[in-house]
Amino acid sequence: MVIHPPGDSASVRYEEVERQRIVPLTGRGVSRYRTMRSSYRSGLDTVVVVRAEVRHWRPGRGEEEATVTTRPHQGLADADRLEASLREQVLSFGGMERLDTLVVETRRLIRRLPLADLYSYTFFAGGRDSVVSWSFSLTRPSGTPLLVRDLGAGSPEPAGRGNWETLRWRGGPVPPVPLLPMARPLRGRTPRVVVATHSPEQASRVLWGALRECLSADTAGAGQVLAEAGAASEELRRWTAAKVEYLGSDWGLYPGYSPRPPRQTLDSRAGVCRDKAVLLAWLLRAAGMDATLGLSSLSSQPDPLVGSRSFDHVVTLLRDGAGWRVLDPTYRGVSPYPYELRGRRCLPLTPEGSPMVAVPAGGDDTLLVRLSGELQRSGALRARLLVRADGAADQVLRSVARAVPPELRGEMLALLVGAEPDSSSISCHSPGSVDGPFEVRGSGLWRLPASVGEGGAAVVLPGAFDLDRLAGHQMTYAMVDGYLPDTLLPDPPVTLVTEVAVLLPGRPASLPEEGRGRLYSRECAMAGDSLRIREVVDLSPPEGPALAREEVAEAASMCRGPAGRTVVLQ
Amino acid sequence: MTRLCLVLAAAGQLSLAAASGTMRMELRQRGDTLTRSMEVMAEYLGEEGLARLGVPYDPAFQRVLLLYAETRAPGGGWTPVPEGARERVDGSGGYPRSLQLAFTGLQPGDSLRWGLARREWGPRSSAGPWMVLPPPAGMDVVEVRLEGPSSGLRWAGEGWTAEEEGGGLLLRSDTAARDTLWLTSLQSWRALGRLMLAGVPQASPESLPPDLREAALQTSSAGADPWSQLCLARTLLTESFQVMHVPSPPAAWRVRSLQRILDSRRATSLELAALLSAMCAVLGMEAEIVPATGFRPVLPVPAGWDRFLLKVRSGRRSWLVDPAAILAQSDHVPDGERLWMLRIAADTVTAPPETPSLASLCREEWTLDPGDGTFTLSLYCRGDYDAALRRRLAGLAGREDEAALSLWLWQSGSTCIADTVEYDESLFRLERPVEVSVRGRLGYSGTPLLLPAVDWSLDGARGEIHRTWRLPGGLEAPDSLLRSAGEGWTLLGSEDPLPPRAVVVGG
Repeated sequence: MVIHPPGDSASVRYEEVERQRIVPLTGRGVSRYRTMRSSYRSGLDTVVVVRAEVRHWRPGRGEEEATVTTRPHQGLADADRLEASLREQVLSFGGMERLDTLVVETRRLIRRLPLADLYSYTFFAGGRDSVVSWSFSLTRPSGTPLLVRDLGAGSPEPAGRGNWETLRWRGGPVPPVPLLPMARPLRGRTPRVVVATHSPEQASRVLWGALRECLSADTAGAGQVLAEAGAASEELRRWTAAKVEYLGSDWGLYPGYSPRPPRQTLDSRAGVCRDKAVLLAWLLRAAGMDATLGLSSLSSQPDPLVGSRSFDHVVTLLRDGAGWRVLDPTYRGVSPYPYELRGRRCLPLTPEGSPMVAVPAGGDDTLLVRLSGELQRSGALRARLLVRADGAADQVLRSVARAVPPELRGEMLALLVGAEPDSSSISCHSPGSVDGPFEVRGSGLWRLPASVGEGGAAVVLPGAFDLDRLAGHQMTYAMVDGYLPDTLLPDPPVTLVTEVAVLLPGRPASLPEEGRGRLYSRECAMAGDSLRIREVVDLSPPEGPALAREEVAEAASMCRGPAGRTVVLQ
Repeated sequence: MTRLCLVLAAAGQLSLAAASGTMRMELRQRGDTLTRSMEVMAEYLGEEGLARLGVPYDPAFQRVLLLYAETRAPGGGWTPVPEGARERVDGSGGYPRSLQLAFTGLQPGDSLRWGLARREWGPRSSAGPWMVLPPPAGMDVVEVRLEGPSSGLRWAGEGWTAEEEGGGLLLRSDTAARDTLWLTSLQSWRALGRLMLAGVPQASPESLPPDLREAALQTSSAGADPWSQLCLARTLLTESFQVMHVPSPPAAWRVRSLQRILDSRRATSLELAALLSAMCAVLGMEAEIVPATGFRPVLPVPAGWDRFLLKVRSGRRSWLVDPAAILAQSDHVPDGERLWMLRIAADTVTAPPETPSLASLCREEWTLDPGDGTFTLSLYCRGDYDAALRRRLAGLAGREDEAALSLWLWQSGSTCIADTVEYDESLFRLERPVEVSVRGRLGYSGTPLLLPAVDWSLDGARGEIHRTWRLPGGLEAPDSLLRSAGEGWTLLGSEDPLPPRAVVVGG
């Protein structure tokens, strides 16, 4: 990586050179590296392919150059981002086989950085595949300020030539880091070096300067929204989330980065996170509150050192005593921000400069499923259903419902709770409505495993993971020996509470067993002719995001065993 | 978005929660270029979401021009969609590009209208005007005009009427009960077949690339019979090539030279058929490429034919194979029971013949010991079941097999944790049906016991299933015994046959 002295706007300011030699050892490796992509923003940076070839091991096949194509980035249309300035360069290695060698050298030429000249770079010394050896070097004019944070990569070797200084890190081999469900993200487990030209506090101050004009003091037009939505911060957040559609565009000086003035967003009723965050901050200020913007990332934890390119999400921050409250106006849910932001670093933009802050972790992620009805000896249960979701559960259910056309939602919800779609009438309120927690209601037919003999009958009542078929899949993995690490991050976190009340068709000879584990509890009791079972599976502990694998496996085993759900009738 | 709709992307894909409006289309043919113009005006009745229009296209053969796009509030004037809300980005469904348009700020009761022209050139447009128009949702009136003489044109569709108008043809529908409109200039299925296969090189065995000849001859080196040779040849192709999904027919019909296909190690469905056909020629077998579609074709229209099978003959025997069916048994044509096949020589379209030997079959044998909480499962799978299993498990390493199988059983409603998974041979060998043995733990011990079963419907597999449960005391419990009493056990299935949900309790 080379940092050039500041020059005119046409010169290359930063240069990132990447040289790789890759030998795929498996078919999966061939699939992974057959196509390699680099994204860039036209107008800001370009990616030049210096060399990209495959050297075949098979005698007579020789070497072949990769096909290089550039095009709008994949997935823009699906993500409602009409930002053709975000492009990608695609290297396709035709005819690649296992044990061939790929030789790739690319140079990213950065002419300017978005919003402000704040450079940062993270070098990963390892990854999903095994690395035989690695090196990372950084060259800059002597005396250029630079902050370095070593996150497991070791210390650099300094060198100098003329007015240039070079720092070089090297090491290896590095074993592959497996990608596993519920494991810590790859980024947090990979040795890396982070370098930046500015501290977070400096970045906060500089970026505030770049964006403050958006938060215009002229609040004409805001009054109408305040009158319609209310002047409380959460009311305004929900109004912005619900009334301004998510739609990205190449607006502004730095396409993909520049927020629009709030009144433009208000007029078009459309915008992405940056536009909506600015609009909300503007509305909060118009209501007399102290609000600003915060930069964070939905895809991964931002590193402790940051620059203009370190973030992929903008939120609104509301001054709360000495700290900040996070409000995400892109989030169509009842919580102030999506669960993915929990624990993430966020950079408040302030005139005086602020350090990074952590978005509060934890939350109420309860998913309540209540079922009450009448049981038949054949195992047919006709029952009323209520599902109420909070926090992460609310977010997941809304996104599932939103992905299904309204006319098919009833069928989808029936399948989700294990009911017979053809014999059920289940509905939910609009997933776009943020008036309250997401709710599902209705009535349905559940066909339960049953055993009928001359002496009586046995029926297995639905348990927590029969009534929420979205949850629990990953818990299976915790039960497989030697697969997952010892500590797990549930994704999404959820506290699943099921309350089943059934009118029995006869006197019970035996009731389901009660049970209590570290993350699980089950209570059973008769109330008149009704059997009541209450289960709680807590995969969202308040004290922190990590759970012991053993505890998760225990909970999975306890809640799925039929002993705790079988009622034997005389 | 259905596959058929993608094929017919001339109409664009509009995501409206609900709408009421009119659609007018016009078809114009100039040489080998077919232009479809389209105008839509609708009232927005939705409650949530933007109205979005997406028109995927392949710039190598198509151009899409947006003529106008406007919205209007009740009582107001028409306002153009903002500049930032229209863009050409990456395509969906495999198309390289897509014109995307978002109608922002719509309120229920607002109106919207747009016009666009889509021009296509290349082999399929040279055959004259054609179209397949599925009933557009929310449109009260739909009109399709064809410029120029209508002689030689054929059309079909319930709920549509036709009249000559201004030297052209006007097709009109004003009923919600309208069916798909089919329109074509092609006069026969044979003509359509020849159009689709015009790009396939007619290579003699002597002129084939040496690598391909060598690979073909390898399959016969052990004196294998023709069927085994064909299976091996197909396995070689599926192991060596990445199948490229090309949804747009002009590009999907393009076939590179056999040498270029070999070098690239990627091939479309038609290119794989061409390669396997060439290998068959080396082996002395006669092979015919058979275009196929999952939609019942009403008229010979050059759209929707996205599968290319191979009918192979050796002496008096013949087989149908799908060269692009990766991770499927050699004699299995996925979704074969729903495929319509175009037979060029016979000038007809047929459903595939019922062939009992190709039937999908699964034998699922469980041995359960609730006392110590263990199980074994042995699976023998053919056809759909074979393909479902290979796709779930092939290529996994380390403990991934056990994790994937445990997850599959959890999704099927059973808590059975796999400790070991063993295959009788690699899942990438496609000649024989898959056989798998699993040993593991039930997630609990003692009774009651839920009889486990694989829910094959999760993977869309259909066919015959034979399930057996062996329980302590030598008791066997196939389906037929589920309702009888056994020694120390009472077995009964619920009414739901797939998967059977039965509970076993101590006697």
